[in-house]
Amino acid sequence: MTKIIKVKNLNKSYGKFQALDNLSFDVEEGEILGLLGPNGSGKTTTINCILSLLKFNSGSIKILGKEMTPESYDIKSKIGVVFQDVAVFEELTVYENINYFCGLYIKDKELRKKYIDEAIDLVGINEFRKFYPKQLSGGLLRRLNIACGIAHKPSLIFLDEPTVAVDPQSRNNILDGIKKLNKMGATIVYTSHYMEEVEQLCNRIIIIDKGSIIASGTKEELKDLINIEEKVTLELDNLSDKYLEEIKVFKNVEDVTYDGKNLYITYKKGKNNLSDLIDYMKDKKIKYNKVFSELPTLNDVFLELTGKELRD
Amino acid sequence: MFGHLFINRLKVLLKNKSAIFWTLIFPILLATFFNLAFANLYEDSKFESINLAIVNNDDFNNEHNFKTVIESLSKDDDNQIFNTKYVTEEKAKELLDDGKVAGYIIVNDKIDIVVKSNGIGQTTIKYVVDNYYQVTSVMGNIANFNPEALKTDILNKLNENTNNFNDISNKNVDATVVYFYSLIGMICLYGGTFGINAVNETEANLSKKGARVSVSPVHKFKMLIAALLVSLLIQYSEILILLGYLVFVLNINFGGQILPVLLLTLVGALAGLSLGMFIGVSNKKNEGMKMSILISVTMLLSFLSGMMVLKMKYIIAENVPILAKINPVNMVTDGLYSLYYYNTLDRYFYNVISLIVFSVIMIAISYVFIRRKKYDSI
Repeated sequence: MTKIIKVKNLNKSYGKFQALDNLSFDVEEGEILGLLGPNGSGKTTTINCILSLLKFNSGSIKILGKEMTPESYDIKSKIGVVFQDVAVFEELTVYENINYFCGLYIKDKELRKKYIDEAIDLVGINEFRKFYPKQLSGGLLRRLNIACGIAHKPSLIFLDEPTVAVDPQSRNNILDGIKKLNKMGATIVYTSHYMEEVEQLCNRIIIIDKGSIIASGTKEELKDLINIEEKVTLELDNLSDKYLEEIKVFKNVEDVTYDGKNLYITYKKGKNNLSDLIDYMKDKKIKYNKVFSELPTLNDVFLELTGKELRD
Repeated sequence: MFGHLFINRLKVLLKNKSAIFWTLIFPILLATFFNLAFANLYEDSKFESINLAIVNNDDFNNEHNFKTVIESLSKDDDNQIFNTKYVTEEKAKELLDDGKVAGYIIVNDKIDIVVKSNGIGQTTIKYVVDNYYQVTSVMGNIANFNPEALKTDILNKLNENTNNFNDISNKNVDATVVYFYSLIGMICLYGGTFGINAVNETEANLSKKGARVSVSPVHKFKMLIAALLVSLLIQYSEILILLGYLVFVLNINFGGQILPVLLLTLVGALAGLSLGMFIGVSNKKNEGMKMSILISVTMLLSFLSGMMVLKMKYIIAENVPILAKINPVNMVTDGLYSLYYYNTLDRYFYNVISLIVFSVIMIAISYVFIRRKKYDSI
């Protein structure tokens, strides 16, 4: 795989605050790389440094084998960026907005028209092409924002938290669109603090906290880093302290809590955890309503690595 | 590419209803209001001879040239400026105390003006005396090098200057035109809203749109120049519409010199745009706040140029002349005023050049900020 972006020992500070601390990573051609971290962890700063918008203290950034500078117009022509905040002209219609931004990259009018139509289809705003931004809902605005950033068919796309404050329908539409772009050959760098999105979308994930990379890999690799196998929840009305104490000493049990309605059990890695628990319930004739098991999430990974929740 | 940037910028600005209202509709409404409010002031504002007292002592009678000038300006004809009384110093003081004269002149070693307040009359007396000094100084230099030439030239020179003074005594002068001239000055500076908008949408550290276009393969200066050219085109078109309204609908007199008026308003528009660029690029306040700063500054400068109180223009010119010289609204107002009042273009060109210098300084300072390519924070 060709490495499209190479970031090496990147340091960026705002006064005494170290925003990026010796950050190094690569982005491979054709992948969707997720930068996952809580708000203020340095995801957007990383993107802005890569795009040569921000000065950084030290380190190097190469895109497509060349050093990225503000004058790297040949590189810029292959990049598409969707910033976190919507950046469109209120005075232009949906179509005119996409035409304006696409026109900064594509001179040929016929080709541009084709690309705009495809971008409108991709994000699903065909029936709104003559609408002005103020007539659109928040979700549709986000979709327009994305269309403006990707209409010129870039081979490398940066999406900085594109689904913040978006309704579920628009979110699914946006995520589907990103998958399509990737299938069409685009390499994507996707930042988010929504672990579900990153899990669903990304081939590889880098977890950032306080400007440092704390872990990276596929979601499976990341989950292997921690000692949790699964989390089981049982809905039951009554559980005596005696039984609770017995469950706590089961094989592989890491943690047990009971709130009067639900019993939560966290298991370390091991086999037959759930079946052993159900056998115990039958044996003790303890009635329960529902039982379900969850595999560890990226939030669990983040919690174990940093001691705090991803959305703190 | 330039065409794409230009056309789309034009679309954006023409569809910006708020900007169009403040830079086109509002001044037309204000001009209409001025016209209604000042319709009856016109008669009152017709030029009346200024009551002046001269202390009739030996020094005055020996200062033949000055005496000739005063007599010429006091002649009872259509071009009379002064209604002069030749009196003793005590009587002159009495007349001034009673408000019967705008001021009096006493000649001793030099020519002194005594006044008790500021106004058109006092400014005119001072202007005449200053001009006299200026002319006699030139004549003195000629006398040192070519005394013969002086004999023939001096009277012509004095006559020329008397003609200058005569211009302002034109019986058809309407002082209320200053309100309309300062309105044009104000609108020139209101064009700064386009300048603020142009830099705001080009600089990555000022807006999200700026960040978006900064990552595109288009050079920032190409984008900025397209935006500024469109801004200047729209602003100047609006000024032309306003001028047309003033001339053809409200019958405001511009001294019949339309080409110099067009040039002056063009450089005025440039000055407004450059001031907007400077305000836009020199700080990281939001666009609304920058617009407020521009409008506040413009209103203040317009007030100092006489848009709300006509007398203010003269008070500033008298007491804080430097403020009058660096105020772009006053440069436009004074440029138009000089076209209307004087036959010569010296003062007009002084204002045109001042506006160009102002614009160049603003653009140069703005360039220092705009040339940055990367930012410490965005």
